Amino acid sequence: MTEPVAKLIDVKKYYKLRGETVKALDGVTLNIAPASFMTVAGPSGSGKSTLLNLIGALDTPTSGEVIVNGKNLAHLTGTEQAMMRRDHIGLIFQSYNLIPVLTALENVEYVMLLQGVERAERKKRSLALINEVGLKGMEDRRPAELSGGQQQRVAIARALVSRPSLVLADEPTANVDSKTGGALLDTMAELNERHGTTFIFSTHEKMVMDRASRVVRLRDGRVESDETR
Amino acid sequence: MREVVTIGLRNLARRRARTALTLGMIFFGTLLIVFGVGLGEGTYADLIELATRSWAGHFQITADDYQDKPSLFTTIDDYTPLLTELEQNEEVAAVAPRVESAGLLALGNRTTGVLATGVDPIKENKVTTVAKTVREGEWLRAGGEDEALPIILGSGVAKRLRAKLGDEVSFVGQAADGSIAADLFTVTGIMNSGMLEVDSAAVMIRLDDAQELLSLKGRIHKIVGISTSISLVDELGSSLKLPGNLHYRGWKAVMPQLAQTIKSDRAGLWLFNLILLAVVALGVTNTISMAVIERSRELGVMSALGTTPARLVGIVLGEAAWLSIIGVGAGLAAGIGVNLLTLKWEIPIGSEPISYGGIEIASMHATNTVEAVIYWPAIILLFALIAALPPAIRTARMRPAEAIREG
Repeated sequence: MTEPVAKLIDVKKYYKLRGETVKALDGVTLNIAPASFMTVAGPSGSGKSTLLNLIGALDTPTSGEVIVNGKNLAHLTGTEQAMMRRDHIGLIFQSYNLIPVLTALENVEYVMLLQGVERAERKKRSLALINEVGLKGMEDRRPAELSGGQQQRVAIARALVSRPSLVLADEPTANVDSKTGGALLDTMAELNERHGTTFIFSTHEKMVMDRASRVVRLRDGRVESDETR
Repeated sequence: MREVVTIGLRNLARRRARTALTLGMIFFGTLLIVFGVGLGEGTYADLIELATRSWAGHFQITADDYQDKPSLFTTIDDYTPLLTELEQNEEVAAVAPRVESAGLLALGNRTTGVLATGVDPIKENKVTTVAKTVREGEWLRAGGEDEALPIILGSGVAKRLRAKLGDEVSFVGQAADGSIAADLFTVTGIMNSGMLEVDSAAVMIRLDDAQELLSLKGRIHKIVGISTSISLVDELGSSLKLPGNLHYRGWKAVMPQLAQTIKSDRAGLWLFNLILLAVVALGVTNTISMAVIERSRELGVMSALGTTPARLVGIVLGEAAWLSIIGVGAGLAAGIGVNLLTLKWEIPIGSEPISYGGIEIASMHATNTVEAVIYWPAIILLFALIAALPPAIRTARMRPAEAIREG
């Protein structure tokens, strides 16, 4: 059996909010196979973003185990977790989260800069992907000079350019029009097919769910359904 | 490293007013410290130079315990070779031999106790400025044996004896051979150094006359010297190979009160500088803390993208480094400029000049010493970076999701 790219075993994540305990995730167990193209769906507050944060080692669970690429994240130091994200995980945030003082090109190059990729190679790969997401000629603009949709495309290019084995995308098409969203999904689907990149989306959108090979539905921090197509 | 430099510099441009305020704080802090230290060091240098050149010299060489217990019999014997050796030393600018003896000086029926110093008129003039304190008459001149023996009186001595130029005074003391040392001298000058202890008791006679009078042929009590630079005094003391009974003492040992005064004043300057440093450090901490809080989300994203905690610390410190380098650099340049200006246009002290041992300084200037232009600016840079460390470390410790959520 193929080793799952990510594995969650009875994962719980509780927050304290104004003295109340909020159960963002309450005993989630999941195995995510390599080259998956899956979505995590559910209403607001169901725990979708929290799930992605835990798989991406952006947060720690209250209990349970999160294993990514065969490594239990609880056993990694902060530096090791950062290096895992840098080398294996691409992140797409709902609110873009570009670095404001860097241009579009520099934002896309950033992860490769951390990886120590040569300048010429960085630029070549970044420009190619910027072209692919339809932002040719805008590479020298800073995020404030780009529309929401354009920023999201830069964020997607940033997540994909370093060719990670796992991409975590939190509502990636929420702020782009359906045509752009469709084109971006095509790009990601192509990467999934061509390179076996695993994609995990959190989404409300039918368009994204329709393209997914697996849909996990969350409600109140629990897995409500897990459908493979 | 590139992103540390780029992001740090660009972030400073985001909040220009705050950056300008912090830069101003670092700039003025550095300027004040460079100027304050430069002024202090310049004033100390003037005080030391005036004090040493007026009488004590940069260094003195005496025999056995002469410095603590001056005695007619504690002498440097056969001193000429030593004097020649010192004169040939590259670090020695000039040396002068002295003979000292207490005695009584009388004019008519008036008598007073004096400390007679026998000096070589030419050599002494190269080492100290005592010749310039002669207000009436003239400084000692090397003369023939048949001339009347000249003597210069301190103004206090002259006043007590009611002596004037041309008067004949008699000196009585003890000679080194046990006999009575007595001779007649003609007053050729009256000096007024402004130093009470000198003017009230000192009289100057020629070295040869003193040696003859005190039966100290070929012997002296003291060699007073000037080094080529005051900073070489200690080094010179270590390099000289003196006979075992002779002792070298730099100006700090010769004038411990002056050394202590300067030491105390430096301590006060340190305290003032530390207060300025604290202000600068608080300014940097405040700016960096605010920047980190404001950009919590952005730093969280950088962490999420794979920036290691150490690199995040570097990015935050990069910003502080830019602030400090620009602020300290500008403050240092301005401070050096101000210090140079004071060399041309000295700062008048006002109606109350600084006074030490009768030596007065009516104006001050700042000098660009190593302390002023290297040590202290480096300390400010270090302080500013250390001040930025807590917010930088706090950032690196945050979970990326937490930082993004809080941003």
